[in-house]
Amino acid sequence: MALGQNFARVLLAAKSGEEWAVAKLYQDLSGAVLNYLRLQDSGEGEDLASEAWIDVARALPRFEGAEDDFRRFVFAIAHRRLIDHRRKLRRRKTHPAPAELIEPHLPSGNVEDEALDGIARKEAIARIRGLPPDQAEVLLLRVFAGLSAVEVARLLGKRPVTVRVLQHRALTRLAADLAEFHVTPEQLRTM
Amino acid sequence: MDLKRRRISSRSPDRETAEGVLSGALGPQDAPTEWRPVAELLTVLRTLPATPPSARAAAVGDDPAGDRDRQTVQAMAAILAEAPAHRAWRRHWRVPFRPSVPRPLNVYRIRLATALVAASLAFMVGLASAGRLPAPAQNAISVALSKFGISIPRGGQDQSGQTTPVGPDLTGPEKKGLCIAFFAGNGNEENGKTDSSSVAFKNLQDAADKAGQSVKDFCADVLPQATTSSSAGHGKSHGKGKAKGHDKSGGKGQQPDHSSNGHGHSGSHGSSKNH
Repeated sequence: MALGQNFARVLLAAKSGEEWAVAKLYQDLSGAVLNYLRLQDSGEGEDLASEAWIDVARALPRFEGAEDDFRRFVFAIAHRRLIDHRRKLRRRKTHPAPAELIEPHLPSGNVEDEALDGIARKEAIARIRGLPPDQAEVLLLRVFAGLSAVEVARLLGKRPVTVRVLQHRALTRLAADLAEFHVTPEQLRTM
Repeated sequence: MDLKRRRISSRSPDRETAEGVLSGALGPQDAPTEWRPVAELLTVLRTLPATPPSARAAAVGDDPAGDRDRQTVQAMAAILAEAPAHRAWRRHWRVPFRPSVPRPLNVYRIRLATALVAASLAFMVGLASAGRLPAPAQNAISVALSKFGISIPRGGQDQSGQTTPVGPDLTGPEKKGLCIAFFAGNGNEENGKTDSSSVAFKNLQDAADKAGQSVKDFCADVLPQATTSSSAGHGKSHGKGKAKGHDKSGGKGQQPDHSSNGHGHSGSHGSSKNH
């Protein structure tokens, strides 16, 4: 749900602290940011997303640009938050339990809906998590943030050629993985 | 392992296909057959719900975002609402702090010494530009400032930069040497050599005028008659002298014999105009 021509007005209102405007900016990108973080850190994706949005609010008064720039701005902050989190994890030497392990034990809503929604999602997540971290990072930034290879390279501090090589390897690996397990597009659609 | 690697390399996508699949421009239906599962997988990723099912079930009312989202938005709005005041405080904080207590004494000493040196330099340069310094100091400052493109008259120069020669003292023994040089040809009236730039000859002319005499008569008392009469002889050709401007033997009453042999050494007086 892009804001389009309303973006400048919404951004101005959000900068002055209007809650409705902040909510619009948040709703526009929160799903993509959450999935980007959750697919790379299964344990604390939601906490990381909340912290990233708080950082976005702190930096927002200095932001100037269009909607695409805002998207890059938010994902750059989310990426930095993820890097910080990984550094902390290395220092703490603890590994929080993945959300997939906890969710089955939590009280849920409609079991049938969950089952239908969950299978395809879990399959896709499993495939992505099977990728090496640098390939997954590039792939997720391209898919969720909608960034070009050059923009991803700038964000990650890599050369564009390196990013293209990584995304190429990721796609090749995914194709091989899906073929190995005989997963067809129809199966993915109906899963 | 080799089999798997070979299979992967055989499925390598070209650049356009990879870009299309990743950007979403190439959907599962449009992608090449071998890339359809990958395109489908990426489509599933793009349509992943923003919140997991359990969190959605916990959502309250019609708000799809849930409690966590609502709290995040409220926290963001609060931060942004406080942002202007925060920035104003920061501006205030950045105002340079000036302590009321005096600074350490050595700071004042250094500043005072620097100011004194600067004032002295300015004073010296001012004096030099007015030409009021002794010649060596004037020369030194002139040379130093000329390196920076500042022109200051050198020592012994007037304001126009010209030297102010005095010439020999005609009341003393220099008179004899000057008269010899004058009649040897350098300043001879008959030869039209009374060079206006020669201060010595000019002084001689002025002294003669003041005495109401011609130069010849004025010099008659220090020169033998023969010198004044044969002055246009060979002496002229030797007049380029290495002269000191005065006769060293003057004052002892000896008459030079240069005019008698025709060559003389009148050249020894030739540059007396420099004095």
